[in-house]
Amino acid sequence: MTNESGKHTMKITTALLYFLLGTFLTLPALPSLASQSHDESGYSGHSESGKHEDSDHEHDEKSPSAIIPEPMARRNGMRTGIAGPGTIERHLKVYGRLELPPDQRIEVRARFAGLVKSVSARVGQQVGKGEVLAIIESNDSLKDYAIRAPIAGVIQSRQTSVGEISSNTPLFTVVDTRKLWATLQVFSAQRFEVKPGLPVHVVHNSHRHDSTVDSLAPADQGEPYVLARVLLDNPNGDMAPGDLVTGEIDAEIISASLVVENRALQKLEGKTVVFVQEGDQFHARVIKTGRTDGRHTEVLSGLDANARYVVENSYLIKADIEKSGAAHDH
Amino acid sequence: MIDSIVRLSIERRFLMLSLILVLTGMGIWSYQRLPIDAVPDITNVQVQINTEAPGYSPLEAEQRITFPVETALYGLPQLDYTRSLSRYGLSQVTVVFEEGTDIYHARNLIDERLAAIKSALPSGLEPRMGPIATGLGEIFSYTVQAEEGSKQPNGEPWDSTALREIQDWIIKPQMAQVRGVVEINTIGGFDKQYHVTPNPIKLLEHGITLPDIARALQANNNNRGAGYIERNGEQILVRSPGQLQTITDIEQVVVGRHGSAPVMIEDVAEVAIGKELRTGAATRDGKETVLGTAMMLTGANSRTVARDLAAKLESVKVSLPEGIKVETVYDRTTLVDKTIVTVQKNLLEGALLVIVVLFLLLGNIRAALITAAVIPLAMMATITGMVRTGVSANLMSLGALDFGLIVDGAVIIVENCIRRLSHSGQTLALRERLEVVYDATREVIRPSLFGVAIITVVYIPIFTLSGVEGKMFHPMAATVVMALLAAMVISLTLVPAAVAVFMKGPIQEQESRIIRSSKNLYRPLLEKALSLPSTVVGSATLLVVLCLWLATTLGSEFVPQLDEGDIALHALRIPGTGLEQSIKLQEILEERLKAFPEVDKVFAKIGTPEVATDPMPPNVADNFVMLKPRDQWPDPKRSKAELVKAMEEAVEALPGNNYEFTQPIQMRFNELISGVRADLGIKVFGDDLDQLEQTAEEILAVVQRVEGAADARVEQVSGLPMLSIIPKRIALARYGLTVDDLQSLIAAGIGGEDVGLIYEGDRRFTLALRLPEDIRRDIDSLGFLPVPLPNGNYVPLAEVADLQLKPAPAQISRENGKRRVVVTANVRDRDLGSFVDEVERQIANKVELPSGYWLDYGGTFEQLQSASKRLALVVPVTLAIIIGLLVMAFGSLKDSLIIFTGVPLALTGGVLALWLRDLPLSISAGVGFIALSGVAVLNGLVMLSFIRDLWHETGDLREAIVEGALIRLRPVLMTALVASLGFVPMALNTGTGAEVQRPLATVVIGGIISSTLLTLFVLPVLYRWVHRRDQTD
Repeated sequence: MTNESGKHTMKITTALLYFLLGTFLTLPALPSLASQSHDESGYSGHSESGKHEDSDHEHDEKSPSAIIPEPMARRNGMRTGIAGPGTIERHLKVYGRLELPPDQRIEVRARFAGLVKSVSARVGQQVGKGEVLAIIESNDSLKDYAIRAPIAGVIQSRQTSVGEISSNTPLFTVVDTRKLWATLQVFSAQRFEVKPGLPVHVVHNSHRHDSTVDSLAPADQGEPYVLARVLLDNPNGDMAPGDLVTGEIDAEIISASLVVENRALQKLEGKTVVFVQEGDQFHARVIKTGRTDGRHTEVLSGLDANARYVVENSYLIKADIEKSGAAHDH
Repeated sequence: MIDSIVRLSIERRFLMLSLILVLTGMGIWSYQRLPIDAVPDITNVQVQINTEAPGYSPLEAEQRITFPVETALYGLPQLDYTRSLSRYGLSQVTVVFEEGTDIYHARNLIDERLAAIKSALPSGLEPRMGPIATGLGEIFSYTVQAEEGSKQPNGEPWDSTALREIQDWIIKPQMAQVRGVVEINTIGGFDKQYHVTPNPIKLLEHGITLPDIARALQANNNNRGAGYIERNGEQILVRSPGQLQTITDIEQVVVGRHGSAPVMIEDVAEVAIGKELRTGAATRDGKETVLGTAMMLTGANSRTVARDLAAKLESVKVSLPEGIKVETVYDRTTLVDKTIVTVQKNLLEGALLVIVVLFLLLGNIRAALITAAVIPLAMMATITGMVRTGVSANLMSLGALDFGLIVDGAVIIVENCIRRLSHSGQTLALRERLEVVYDATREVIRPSLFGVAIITVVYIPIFTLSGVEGKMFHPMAATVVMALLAAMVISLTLVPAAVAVFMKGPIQEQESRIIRSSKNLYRPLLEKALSLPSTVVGSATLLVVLCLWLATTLGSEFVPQLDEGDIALHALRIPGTGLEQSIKLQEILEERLKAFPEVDKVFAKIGTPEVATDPMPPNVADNFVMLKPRDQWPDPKRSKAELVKAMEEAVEALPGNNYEFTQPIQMRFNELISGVRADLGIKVFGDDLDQLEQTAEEILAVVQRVEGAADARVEQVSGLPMLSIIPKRIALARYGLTVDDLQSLIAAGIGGEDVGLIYEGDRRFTLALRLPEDIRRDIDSLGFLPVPLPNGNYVPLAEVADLQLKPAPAQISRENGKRRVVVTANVRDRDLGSFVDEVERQIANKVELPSGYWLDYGGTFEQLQSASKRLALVVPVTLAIIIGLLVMAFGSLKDSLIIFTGVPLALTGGVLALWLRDLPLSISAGVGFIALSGVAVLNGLVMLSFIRDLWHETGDLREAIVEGALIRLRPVLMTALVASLGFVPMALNTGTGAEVQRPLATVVIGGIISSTLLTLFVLPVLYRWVHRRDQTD
């Protein structure tokens, strides 16, 4: 009972009729049976492609377009924007761990071996630079001398107690975590784009710390990446060495004279287009794209500055233009 | 033999009459078993094999599932053909069997084959056969919605996940219990799932991988029984419950250690109720909803099943949580009831009209009642026969029943009986009366039996129709033939018996005034006609020729669409449109449709439901527009066609959608029968999809240039945007990874991995592991996704794989085990046969097929050709049979041919009537013409047999013609009037389903009027003209 099957059903009817009539009147009406059986009603919904194209002649012969009245566009959640200059910020995402810079972790040793007479520093204690940590009586001179903190920081460990004889072993480890290194692993594909001095946003536990790439150095054990060192301030001490961090390196920040939002880009017949609004009409403009950062894309050609283009739900216009091809094939 | 039957009937008249009780009893008993539906079932014998393959792309689904399944089916007995469809996450193989194959047997065979290939399929995938249902199966739908402002017990507003849970675990189990229901298919909402979504950074930090989490969850979610212990005479069962029950339970699962501290799920992942990656959604009146559709078992009675479902739904409501509304949105009963009302009304009014005519013309109420009694009795017998032969009652099967035709035989017998009885004047003694009845019956029984036999025979060509037409019109022909045969038997037995019993007392020559005045009018006209033979014959011929020409100017139509009362439309968006985008478009569309005051409800299915009975991609939506009863329309007279047109215009303005308007049942039939629906389908078979598409495009270009081609297009196979993550093998090796490691990560991370079930009482929900939504969706930074290395380090995904976004095949269609792409075209203003020839020739010349590729020409032209061939054989045979019958009756070929001329004369009236009512030619009209031919022959038969008998008695041809014609005027008028009046209600009715019967009734009425007039004038003239030389003998 499909339209089409109905159609041939109908042809059979016609055939039957002609047959009856034909045989009765001995008129050979058979050959004509299939010819005149089509009518115009069966093909309504299908072939209305190009319906919108007609209205578009004076403006642009070729560009496919759709007509969508303003309220309808709004109802469909379509939003437009103005194409204009903007910045393209391309980020690279890398991961790495926090490390203490070597100069911020110091193992304090006794210069002259001797008897530990007193220890004033506790593990975890904040010490200032030059603060006395312990007093040692030198074996050689039998004089007391003070062990002082070489840097300001925290006593990370203490390996000595009063009455011990200090030898070569470190007595204290002082670390200063107010500044940390993030050593980010930069893999080969990204290596060209990372240079010292580039801004980096390091995300640690969803906090963002801004800094720059300090230096690049190959990994120490032949791993296939280079380490980008980034110096981070850690005034609150919420970061600790060993933590995993994500770094977003601003690989490129360029101001482009014309950018569009990426959401606006659609593929039409294999070409990248944006849809430009002119009243109720939306025209597809084939554009040549330049650099992109995942949110904005530079437009090299094909679009005028200050053009009003569809940002949100631009898919709808693509869908409308291509819809004539949409069919339900089982 | 006939004589002895009549004799027996009259002798054993009371016994005969008691048969009425038997017949009635059987009829009523059968009626309760008669499957009733609105339309005939045109589905072929088919079994769908669906294999759900979550995450499989069309290519993989074809390679891993479709192919082995298809191969397994080779050589099934009675297999007609197989076709298959491979889409995202689904492989569907449709196996079509030859007509008449027992579906249960077929399913058994398939089951056997499938069991054998289980091991060849990827593990975890299981092919399942679709429900045992036909195109008429979707008889009942309901939506599950929450009332405005109502809240779940936990205080949250109802969301579609919660609604789906109610459907799956409260409503569906109860509805599935209804007898005759084979499946409750759900679409819409989200299957509730527990999602564990690990944060890749945290995983790296703790050195934990996705497989670690999967293993941990699988190893920590089980209950074990441990036998029993006997103690002090008691038996104590032992078990160790370890199933995870709540989100907190899941969060506490230990996945590894960091130093000595255990790392738990909550340290690396979020656990929450999530949404499945669904393949379909449902909307109603512009809002997302959950839709349940009941599928009826093949062969069940849709009316009772739908009624039971409605009753069940009422009782289900009691068990629902507060604030949940369940509403019926589609109920087949409505349509069936409406159809039945139409048919009943037509039949009742027809029967009443017939009785009135009989009374007026016979002038004897008893005779009229006896004749009319044939109607219900024949109906009872027909219903019994329908149940026996498995014909369901519907618009088509009951549509061609004309009580006028049914009583024709009886009319002739009764008329002759009362004529003879009244001639004898006074009250006859019993024996005498019986003798008169016997004689009178015998006198006309032959022509009347022949007449009925001829009417029956003309239905034979209909039985030779095959395919969809066959399915539609066989029941119609079968019913009519059964009714006619029943009437014939009744006329032979019950009618004479009843006449013998009831026509007592004096029967006056009560020739009614109508007949008398007709006769007064008829005689001079006939005399005049006889004196102008050439004028009469000439003008009749002219009329026939004129009408033949007129017939060619009539528009032609398909089968008039059975108006289901509701509207269905496909809303089509471009391939690749996502489900959520589709829903958004759908909401606006439904709002627009709902704005029509005639519309009661709008609901839609988008994509594929739970059981993939109709595997649609997410860019296609099946919309159902339920209309209010007509009296609630602002303009109850507005035709449905107008309304549909207005709707088309309204929705055409919505951007991004394309539409195909149809009706609910029709839509389902289309989906099931499928195949090529255009006039010409050129199937390109081969292996390589790109090559197939290219060849198809070349063929399209050729076809488009052939004159007469319209709507030519290539089946859409590509255009699905696909992100391919292609492993770099060397890079992987450098990091000590395998391709499988990478693929598992992507599959689990993006697609998700089922790692167990969470039980809540009876309800069970999938526990799935996948990456958080924000990471999954962000294609741009997918390349930065860290891939963990065996040494605890990581590498970004882009380092070890190429990411490519490009269109890929949206679906892969196969037929008989080979990939195919179809080019379809319709033909306009050109003879189909020559068009196909030219296309074949041109393609052979211009398109070069690579080796391993071949073409197959199909489409409706094939069926048309085979139908034409068959009819070319059957119709002449039928005509020969009719002539044979006539010759048997008359012993004269000449006379038989004269009677035959009644047929084209009758057709003229049919054509004129169609033209007057502005109706196009259609197959229904064709069936009308067929019935008409029978009636016309019957008319001529009755007339000529009498004239001839008179002629042989008197020897005067002219006198015999005039007298015979006058005597036969009454039966001719009567049969004609009852036959045409019996169809009048059908011709005028506007109720549901009337549009199918209207052309048929119109043709018969018009034809009978012309045929009667012509029988009365042209036939006698012809007879005299043909026999003018014999007269001198």
